[in-house]
Amino acid sequence: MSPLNPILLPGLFLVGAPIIIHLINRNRFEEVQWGAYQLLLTSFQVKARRIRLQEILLLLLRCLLLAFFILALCRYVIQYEGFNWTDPLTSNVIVIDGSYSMERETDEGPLLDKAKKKANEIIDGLRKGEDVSVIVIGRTPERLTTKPEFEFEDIKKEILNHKLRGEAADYVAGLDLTLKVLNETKNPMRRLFIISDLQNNGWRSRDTAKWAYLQAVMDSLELKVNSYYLGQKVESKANFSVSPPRLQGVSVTIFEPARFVFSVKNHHDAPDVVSIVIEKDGKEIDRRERTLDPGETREETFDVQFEKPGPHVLTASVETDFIPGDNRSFMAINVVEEIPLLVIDGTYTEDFFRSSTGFFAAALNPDVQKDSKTAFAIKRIAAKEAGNESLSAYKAIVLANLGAYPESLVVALERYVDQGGGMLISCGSQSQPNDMMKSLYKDGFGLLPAALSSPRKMERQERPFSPFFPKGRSDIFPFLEADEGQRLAEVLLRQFIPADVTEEDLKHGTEVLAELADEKPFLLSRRFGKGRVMLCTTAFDMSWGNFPSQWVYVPLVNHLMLYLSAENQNDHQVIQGDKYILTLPAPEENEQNTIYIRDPGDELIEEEGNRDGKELMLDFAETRKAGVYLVSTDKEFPADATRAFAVNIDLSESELGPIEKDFRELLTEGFEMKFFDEYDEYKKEEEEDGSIDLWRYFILLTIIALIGESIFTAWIASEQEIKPEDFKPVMSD
Amino acid sequence: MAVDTVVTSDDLARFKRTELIARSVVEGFVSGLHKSPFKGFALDFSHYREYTRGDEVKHLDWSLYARTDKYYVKQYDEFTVLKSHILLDTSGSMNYTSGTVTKFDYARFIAAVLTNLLITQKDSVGLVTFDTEMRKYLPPKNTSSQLARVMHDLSEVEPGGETSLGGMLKQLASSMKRRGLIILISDLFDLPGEIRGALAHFAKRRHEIVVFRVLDEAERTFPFKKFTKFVDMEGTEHLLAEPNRIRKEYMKRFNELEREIQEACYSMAIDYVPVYTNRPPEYALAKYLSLRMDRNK
Repeated sequence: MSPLNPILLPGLFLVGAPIIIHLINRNRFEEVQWGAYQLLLTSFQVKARRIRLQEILLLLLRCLLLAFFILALCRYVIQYEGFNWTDPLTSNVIVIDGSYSMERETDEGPLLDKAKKKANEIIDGLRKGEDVSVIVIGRTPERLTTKPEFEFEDIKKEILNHKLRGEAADYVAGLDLTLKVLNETKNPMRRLFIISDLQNNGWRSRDTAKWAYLQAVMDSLELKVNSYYLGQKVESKANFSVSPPRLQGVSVTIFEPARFVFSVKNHHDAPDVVSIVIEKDGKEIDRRERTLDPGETREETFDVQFEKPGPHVLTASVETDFIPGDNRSFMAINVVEEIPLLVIDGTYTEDFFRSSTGFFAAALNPDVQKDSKTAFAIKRIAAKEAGNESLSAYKAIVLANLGAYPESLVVALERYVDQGGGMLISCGSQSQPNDMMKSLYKDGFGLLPAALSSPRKMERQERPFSPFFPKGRSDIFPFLEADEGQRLAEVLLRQFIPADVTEEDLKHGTEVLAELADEKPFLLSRRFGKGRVMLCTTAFDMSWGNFPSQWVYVPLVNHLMLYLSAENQNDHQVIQGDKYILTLPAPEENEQNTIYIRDPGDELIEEEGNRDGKELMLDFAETRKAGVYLVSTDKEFPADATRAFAVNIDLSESELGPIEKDFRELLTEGFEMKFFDEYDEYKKEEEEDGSIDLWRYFILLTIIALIGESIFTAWIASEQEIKPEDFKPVMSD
Repeated sequence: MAVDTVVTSDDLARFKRTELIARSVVEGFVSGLHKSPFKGFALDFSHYREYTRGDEVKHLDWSLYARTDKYYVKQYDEFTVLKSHILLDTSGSMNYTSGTVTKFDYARFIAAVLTNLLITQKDSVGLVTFDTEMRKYLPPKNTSSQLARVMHDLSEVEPGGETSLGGMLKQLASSMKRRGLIILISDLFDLPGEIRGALAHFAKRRHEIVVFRVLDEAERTFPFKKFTKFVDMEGTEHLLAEPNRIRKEYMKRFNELEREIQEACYSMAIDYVPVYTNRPPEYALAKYLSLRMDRNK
């Protein structure tokens, strides 16, 4: 038995009010000296027991009167077993698991169809005056009715016609919406049905704060909800999932093949053979067969040479199996003819090799002065011109030997890197560690991977410093001996700015890629938002050593820039339902801010972008369809003005493990949820179970107590009534 | 406390000089009625009066008729050799009042009036004050100074203590060998059996008994409404009660006591006079005395 209005329960304290009033009144008396005391005492002693009994009965009646009335207001509901006595009207919310694991086939067809049928059965059992709302849970929950529905035929059709979006379930978001919908309902009883597949995934938020939040919402709504989880066991069959391909290592150009990697996982509890197909722009380029053990995840790599710049689609897929939703994954790659690099030089001069970045630019493009075609299109500018540039037009930015970092530049750089850009900072004679700390480090929350201290210069008798590259970073430095660390003794550096990597920096993702003497870092890297920042603690020119004249300089500089510029090539993937922040270059002379998006279903979407200088930005949230989306400011989607991003399903849904005990306990405790491992088990419960709202009975008891109290009071009063004959006439009269 | 300072309310302001008023009350009876309400045992000639219809012929003075040719009737003063005792209850309950005049003040006023009356008739009057035992005894005398002594004693006495009529009156009755008049002034809040027994002691010895039961109107009507703490007059006991809840039972018991006292008095030929303190005492006395005289005619 539990109350529908628990907020009124503290009112039960009022039950003691008659007793308190009685006790207070007993302490408020008049004092009278009485002559006929013995006569009075005898009269009292005769009546004392009767009076006390009457007082107790009267108090009891008054307490009961209040108790019954408050209990009526609290609307206690009692669960009856053995009667189908659904006395109070109910508001019902049916939550259907719309995740792609519900595509699984059962003997009676797809599991989702069975769930829909069950939902309609529940609706058929509703009475006139009861209402129903239906929510389909996916990555983001979808409400099939705008308000609680009292006409059931339309909603039943809506349920039957609903198509799966092939998403993973997020029950936390679903329950959040469910509680809001429940709060809109008006009937005294609320019932919540979750029709799902007993899968653990979807309840995956182990964030207890989220559950606590939901519980707090539930409590704040003051709702009494009967919750039922209707599950369905499904026999396990062969199922593979394919992860989206990712670019491995460096940026993709038309000059050389790029390597991609993806993984295939066997979710079945038996080994199975799987046929894997790789497609480029819809054409099969590779097919391979693998045998995977139960639970095994295998990484697959493949190389692709792109002939044309522009957006391309790579697809990895397996043959249709038990769950078709997770058989295909996409990658959108924006291939560039050249990688646009912006080099901001702190000592920029027209004399190429007198500036800080002359050697650097020459290493990337030996014919840079002749403006010849290579993988990199380099634009060198002076620091003071940086504010005029649209940074999003570049794949990576190099800051070399800057003497100052104006606030506006720092803000623009932070946004650029945060959105997926790559940036390399090199030191030099103009570098001011204190200024860099203030502008770029920001106590560990800025762009700089580590704190800097005063430049250290080699003493005359000291041996010059040589960089040491530890093992294990062959993805960045494939030209070095991969298996062991390598000290480049031929590189002799006489000066550098020491960087101190703190525990906090390590927590923020700082990693040291190469070291100098005293284990002081030579090259550091750190993720910042979606992008990456690298810091070279010495100069890229000849001022602090012979680095540019050594063999390692050219491959190191090239691979660093390919690595940094690859950051935002991998960044064009989002999980279904997640927001994609897209940025497009848009010349200022073009006043139009319209962004055109073509979704995987070939539908054209027009959105208004937010202009920020020469860029258009948009938070695109309509990522419900898995596949590749094309984005352009031109409705014709020309290759040179079009970018692409891919939306993939959340593969966690492929994990078919049953809902774990702790989740069951969490739901049982938090939502008083009853679990049924078969849909039909609930039917039996429904037949056996009933509930009755006791408010009418409590009101009846209140009235009875009120009448009883009135009669009793009147009876006591009549007992006390003094009739004329009770007054003995005075003889002396 | 002097009697003449006890009764201070406006209502009873005229009682300030008790002795004087008592005398006037008594003289009113004597001169107005020319006959004592209390009969004595010896006669002295007083004066003649013209014969009126209804007078007994045996009282005609024939020698005077012979001289005057008119019918005269001889009138005699009644000389009392009556010994009277006034028994005044001084228990604590007599100190109760719901207004300004306590039952005790009222009772001693009656005692004063009756003393004066009896002294005027040349009867001997004594005073006994008691509660659970005899507090003071003034032997009966018919001297004029007796009135002053009685008045003094009445002024001096203070009510207090419990009442035990039975034992006390038995003791008193056994000490009175000669028949006389016993005037008991009390509220008689005692067990009915005790009261009956006490009166029976006097009745057996053929005393003439008059009982003045002095009551407060509140003791009859029990008019309290609010939750009340009733404290006995000695302040030793108390009782918390809802007056409404016990009024009926109290009144029933009060009436039963009253009825039993009446029955006891009737059966023993005792004059029973209930008086209430909210009524003028001379009114109650006058009514009683005139009734008694009528009865004695």
